[in-house]
Amino acid sequence: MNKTVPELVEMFVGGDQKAFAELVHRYKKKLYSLAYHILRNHLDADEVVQETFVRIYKRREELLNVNYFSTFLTRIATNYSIDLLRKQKNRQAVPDDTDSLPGFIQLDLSRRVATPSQTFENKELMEEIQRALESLPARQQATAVLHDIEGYSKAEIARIFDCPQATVRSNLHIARAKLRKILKGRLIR
Amino acid sequence: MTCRHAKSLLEDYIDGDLELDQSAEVDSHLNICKECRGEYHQALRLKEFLENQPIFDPGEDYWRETTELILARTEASPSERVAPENRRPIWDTGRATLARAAASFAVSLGVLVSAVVIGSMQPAQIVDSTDIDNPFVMTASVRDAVGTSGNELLTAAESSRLARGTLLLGAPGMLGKGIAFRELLTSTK
Repeated sequence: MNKTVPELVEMFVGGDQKAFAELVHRYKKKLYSLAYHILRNHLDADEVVQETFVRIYKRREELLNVNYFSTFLTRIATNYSIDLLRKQKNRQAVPDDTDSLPGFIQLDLSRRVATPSQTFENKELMEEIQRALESLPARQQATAVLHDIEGYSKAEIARIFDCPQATVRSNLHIARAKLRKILKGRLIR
Repeated sequence: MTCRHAKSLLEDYIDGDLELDQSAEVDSHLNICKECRGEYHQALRLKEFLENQPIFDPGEDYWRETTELILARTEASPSERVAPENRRPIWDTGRATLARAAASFAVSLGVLVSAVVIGSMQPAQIVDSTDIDNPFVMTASVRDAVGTSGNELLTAAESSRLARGTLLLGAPGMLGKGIAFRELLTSTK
């Protein structure tokens, strides 16, 4: 379907199921990546993806007043991820081991490494960074994931969280400072 | 620029959020300060690692199944927003609660005023038509006499009217009683 997102949204609100299927197709991987980086858990990320689209479908009439479909979608997914993350933190869930999931493919462990030893060293550091991220409060963790991993701008994150950009900047700086403190020594080349 | 100032600007410097002149100042400071340069490199390395977090892909089977699941879950799912034709009437919405209360109060006030007006008219009618100043009590002898011929309380004409139903006997205030029981009123005073 060769349509722009606003066109698809308009068709979807008008009841076009194919337009909705196309929106699912275009955004599902992006949402999964975001949810997975926040939750570190395939099952929870899967739940976020499904639930986000189901909620969008049920609230489709609200889309007529939405300027950025992507932001609206990301807001629902991020808030749902944060809810799950808080529950996860409460029950001290252990993130699943992605290597052991059948059919689970790590597409790109690190795009910067060159040698096997570097791969091992970097993988170890990646895991440490992941654990450090998990130790952050949910909102700071989500902000760091959105900005530094998923590449959202501060303005976009402010729209997603419906808060001032200064709050995003502050959360991000605090999150990074905490991460640097936890990983102290491991970040020196 | 002091080290403290330079460190406070490091995150914005890395994100490219500083004005050109401020960015140049941080740049100059980093060239001459080894400690700040060390912090800068750590912050940069952390940012690089976050940006290069692995991207996971659960595989095509997962994407196909998830899309089918989402579409199945949403196919029979109605919009949570009520369609315009099914919207509640204006008097049944939250905003109209005050209007409903005011209308209810006005109706109550109308009923009250009507009752007062009718009530104020009622005693005048009775007094005019019966010319009675004092109430009376119907005794057992009166009850016994009513309907019998030749009693001392009722004349033959009154008994006849009573039998035809054109004369009524009853509690104080009943139309006609004064005429019927003139003798009784005199005897009970």
